[in-house]
Amino acid sequence: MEIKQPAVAGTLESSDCMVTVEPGQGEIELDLDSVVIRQYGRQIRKVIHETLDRLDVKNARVTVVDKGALDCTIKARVECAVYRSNGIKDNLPWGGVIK
Amino acid sequence: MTQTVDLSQVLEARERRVYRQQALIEQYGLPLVSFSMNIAGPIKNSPLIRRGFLLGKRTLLTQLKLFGIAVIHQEQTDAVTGCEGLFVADAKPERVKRITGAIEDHAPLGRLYDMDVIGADGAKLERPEPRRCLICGQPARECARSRAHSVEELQGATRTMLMTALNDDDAQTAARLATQALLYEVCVTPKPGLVDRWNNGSHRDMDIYSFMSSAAALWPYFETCVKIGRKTAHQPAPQTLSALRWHGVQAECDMLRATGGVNTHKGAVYSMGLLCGALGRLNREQWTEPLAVLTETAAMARGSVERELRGVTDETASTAGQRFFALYGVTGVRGEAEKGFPTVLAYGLPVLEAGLSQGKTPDEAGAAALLALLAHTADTNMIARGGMKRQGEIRAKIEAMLRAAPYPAKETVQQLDEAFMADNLSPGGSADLLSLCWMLHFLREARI
Repeated sequence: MEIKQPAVAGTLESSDCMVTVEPGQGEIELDLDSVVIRQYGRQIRKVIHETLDRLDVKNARVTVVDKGALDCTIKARVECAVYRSNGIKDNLPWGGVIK
Repeated sequence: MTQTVDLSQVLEARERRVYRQQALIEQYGLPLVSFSMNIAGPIKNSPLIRRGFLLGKRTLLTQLKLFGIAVIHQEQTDAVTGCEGLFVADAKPERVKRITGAIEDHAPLGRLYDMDVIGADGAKLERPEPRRCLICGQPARECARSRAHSVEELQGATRTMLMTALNDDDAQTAARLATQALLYEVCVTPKPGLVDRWNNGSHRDMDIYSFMSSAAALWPYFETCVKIGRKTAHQPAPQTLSALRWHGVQAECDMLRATGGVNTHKGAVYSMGLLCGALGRLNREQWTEPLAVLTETAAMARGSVERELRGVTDETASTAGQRFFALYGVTGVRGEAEKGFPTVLAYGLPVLEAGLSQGKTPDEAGAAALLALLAHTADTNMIARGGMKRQGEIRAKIEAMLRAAPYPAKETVQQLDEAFMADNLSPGGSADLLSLCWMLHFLREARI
């Protein structure tokens, strides 16, 4: 999937994260800020990259501000941001394309 | 009633909440409190959770008011994804945060409250200290992230916390109102033959101070009655009465100790204690329905006339109540309780509440309710002091008086007071029923 326009998903509430996707410069550029970065930084990056991979996103600037979200939440928020970037606003196919 | 939600519903609800937050900040240009419940697992709302939320909302609003912070706008959501409230506050966000932070840290259910404060610039204010896990006390976000505790364990701890706090709130509220009811009863002035603010009526051994000491001494007993009612709520109603009996005896001891050995509230220990037990058996939502409360009270007292009065003769009677039953067939307070205090429901409470809503003072409405009760009750205190015949004559006289004027003038009640004192009469049984009327009235007015 292509990142056509900037899009945001998620909130800054505890146990959530806010994901912003923007058109990239030929690669995945990930900027991560997390309240649990020391213990889980590596795991969170892995989840984000895997999710982008499955959506076939190869070119994007991704900013994630994490407030202690679980993997499933991070995955869902990344998916949602990517879909929104493609103009899909309603009835997001949660977990549909991505198993 | 208690539905489960999936992740997407939770995430959607969060986004919607943040969207509303931003819209309100834009509209008012003021900080706001976003209050939601911190509930782990797929069940985010239930009657228990909703009551916890309402308790938190009450705490928040009363604390903001206490500190002089006006709430310009408030809105509430009650959905399967949980209860949420948004409150626009006219104050510096740091001040608001200090208040909500203290609630989160110190209120009995504080750990379950998320009271975020968002400044007019849209930025959420951070807590000085990270929140602690409700199971182990470690920083909460680490336990949440690592799923250190199972959902079942978290749900169990949450449920226990909610049950404990709400049962405590119920018991404390009922005990406070019961004590208040006893104090209102004694303060209604003038009252015929009874202790009031002007005189000691037909009593030589007690005054209004005895009643105040006694009412305060009974507060913990009323709390105990509610808790026992709650604990025995799943057993047949008479079981609750059995469980209350020893505590009633002890409450009489507490009363005597507080008054220097005078019987001020013996009847109230029985009837108000019974009513508090019934409140414990009922859900808080039912407390505002006098019929429901009295029906439950009656169910608890079922069989007590049969058990305690049947077969008693003039010779074997050990209490005044038993003697009057043997002599006249008067079943007294036990009979009243077993029937669900019908005179309270039919006469006392309607007269009291109609009077108050018409703008009568507590003295006027209270005295009218007392007289209405007196006219329709075989008051064993009246029988004990004046005899059966005299009691009947006075009831008839008062009934005729009330037919002409349901809310007698203060002077009329005062004359009645003097007549009662001259004859050494005191309608103590009716006074206990008046306390029940006040109690039911306060319960109806009390907000959750």
